[in-house]
Amino acid sequence: MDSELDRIKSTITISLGTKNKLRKLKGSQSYEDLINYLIRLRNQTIHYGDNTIELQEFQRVKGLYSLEEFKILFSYNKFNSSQNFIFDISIDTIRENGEIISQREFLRKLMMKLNKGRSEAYYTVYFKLLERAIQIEIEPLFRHNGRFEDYFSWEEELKILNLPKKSFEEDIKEKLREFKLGVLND
Amino acid sequence: MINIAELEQYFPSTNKSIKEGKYTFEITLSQDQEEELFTINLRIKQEDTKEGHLIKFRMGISKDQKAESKAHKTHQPHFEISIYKREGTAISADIYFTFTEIKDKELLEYAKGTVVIMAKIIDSFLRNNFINLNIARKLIYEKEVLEELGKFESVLIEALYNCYKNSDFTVREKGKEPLIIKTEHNLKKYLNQADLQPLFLPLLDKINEKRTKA
Repeated sequence: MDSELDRIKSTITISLGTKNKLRKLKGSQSYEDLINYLIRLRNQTIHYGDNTIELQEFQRVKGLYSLEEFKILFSYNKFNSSQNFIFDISIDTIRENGEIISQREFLRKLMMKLNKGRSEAYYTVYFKLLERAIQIEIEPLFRHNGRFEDYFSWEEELKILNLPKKSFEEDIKEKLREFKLGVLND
Repeated sequence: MINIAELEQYFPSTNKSIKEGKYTFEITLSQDQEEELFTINLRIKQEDTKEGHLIKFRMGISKDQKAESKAHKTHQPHFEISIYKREGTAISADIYFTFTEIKDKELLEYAKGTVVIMAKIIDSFLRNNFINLNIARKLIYEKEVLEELGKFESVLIEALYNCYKNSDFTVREKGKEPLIIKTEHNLKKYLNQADLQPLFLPLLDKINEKRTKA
């Protein structure tokens, strides 16, 4: 008994058939104990329900990544232990020696510096930002092992970091797929 | 075991991305050789423009391998909608309807109904976002889908209604007690979104129709 209401008796109208089923089920228990047991059972099952809406709100936070004369301010979702967690990295501003430059201009300069194609330069930076977000949020010493295209390394690393599968699917697999397709968000 | 090959004829191309302005559309139809697992999926993704919020939208029907890490029963046939929006904070909503004890014939009919809803969602999305309607023809043969598969929409809606009516339709939100949706008010609160209208409105009609008959 938890509250005043639990001490007040009341009635519910049910069919005689249901009442008879309850009477058979309850054995030596009171109706109240049986109903409370059924409520507990139901509360347990809804945690593993078949039909669900999973809602999740993520707080956006900022991180900074420095690459020689460039400073990249980016946003990502603050880590929480939800199964739906994803970092969802997005670039806010890029500065070259303090001056804001466009992403297009940054990529042009980076392509020359790294001697890489546009798409490769873009995704090199994207995966560096992801690595930085993981360092800030989860493991300061984290370093991705191998090239950014190394799918299996990422999969293994995220497993060790105990990051959800959804993060691997959205933050890595999807981005590598976009890299192959040459998709650039600029 | 169902064979979804017959559904491929309603799509100009599958498993390919089609870009229109800042949106990328992709329809996936895939099935394993044993015809045990399958996926029929529509994905819409908005390019990350910084100014606008990011949208990822995915809906479809599938039966996957068993995955312990997922909250839903991936190995059971299920209808799924996933929405991700970013507007200051980021919000993700994943909606699952699981079909239990289902026969293959019924599952194929639900898959056909899903293709109809898919066509309607594409049309509605293009209209809501002022995107050239001609792009729809590059994704799905809407006219033929509505003519030939139209009748299966109500079969799928009936199945989704039964999920809502007979099983616990639960909202799980981190830090809050799970909420079982049993009222129209809560159903509206969680499903009445612009991108979901082609699914939500017929489902709501079905609920009202059943209530009137009862």
